[in-house]
Amino acid sequence: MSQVAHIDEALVLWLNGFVGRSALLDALMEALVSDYLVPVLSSLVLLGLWFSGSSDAERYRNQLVTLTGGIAVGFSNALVTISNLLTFRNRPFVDLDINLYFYAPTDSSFPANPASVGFAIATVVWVRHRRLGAALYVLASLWGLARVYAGVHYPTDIVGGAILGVIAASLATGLVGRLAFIPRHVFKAFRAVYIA
Amino acid sequence: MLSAFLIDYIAWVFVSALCVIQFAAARSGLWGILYARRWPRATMGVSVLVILAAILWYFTTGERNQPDTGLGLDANVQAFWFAMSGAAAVGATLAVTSLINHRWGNNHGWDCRSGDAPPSGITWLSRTTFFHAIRARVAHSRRSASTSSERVGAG
Repeated sequence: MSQVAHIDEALVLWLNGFVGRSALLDALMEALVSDYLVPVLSSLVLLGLWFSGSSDAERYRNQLVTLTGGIAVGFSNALVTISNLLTFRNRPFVDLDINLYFYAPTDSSFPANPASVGFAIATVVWVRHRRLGAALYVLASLWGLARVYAGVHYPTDIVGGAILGVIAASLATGLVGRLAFIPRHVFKAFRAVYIA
Repeated sequence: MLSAFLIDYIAWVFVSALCVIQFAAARSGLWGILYARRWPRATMGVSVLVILAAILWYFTTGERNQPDTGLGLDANVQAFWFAMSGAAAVGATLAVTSLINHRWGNNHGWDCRSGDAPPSGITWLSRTTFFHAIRARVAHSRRSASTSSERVGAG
């Protein structure tokens, strides 16, 4: 366990050591690390899927992905909240001597909520659209990497968050699969007014 | 009162959502909800460029990494305003493209007098506009209602 913690700290110190070395890298990380870029891009993908498809059947399946993505985000937030009630881990900038390249969050470092949300949406999309899902996995991973770079998360926080995200996506997919009659009726009403 | 930070977020999401809808509609052949129906490829290219420009604008015009205990938005507020901005973008797209494509949308091929229900779902927006589709739906509902009341009267 102490070996893992040691590797965790070493990785944070190594990645955070790049802060201030390149203005371009810092600017890129400043956008990537933010609370807005990856969630907005991922959500825009879900919005785009709502209108995508060459037939009614394909569009219906895509709209289910949009719905499932929204539910998965809710589940991932719930899982992180439950986890935060059970455990608390200090942020790297509290325990280590590093350059904090972000504001100082006060909640638990483990698990990383951004990784949880990013991986939840990526997993839901990946189930039906492999390439698009893979792109979202890359985006979610970069978000996690940027958080370690900025000194607000340990790598294991990102891994933990990603696992919770995948679990949340699986739960959401299972739920929508079991209760498929509900979206079917709701979408039928939406189809009558041409918004689905 | 909305903060300048929140207004920027809403504007960014609204513009990006408009472009995402245009991109998806152009790719899926939903001609009735395109601003430039004759140029689907150009629509897709311009949409991507505007989305990238909007990201650049958002992250270069202010300090965006703010704590949600201060100027920043917490996850719930962010989700709420994303939904509002996205819905506004959908509404704006349906309304404006209905006006732009009004004449083209008239030739949707559905005859109110036929008695058949008009097609449902946004797939029909590949042949007509949102307003024409809604009008056809309302016309059919009225016709069905008057036919059934005539039957009741006759019975």
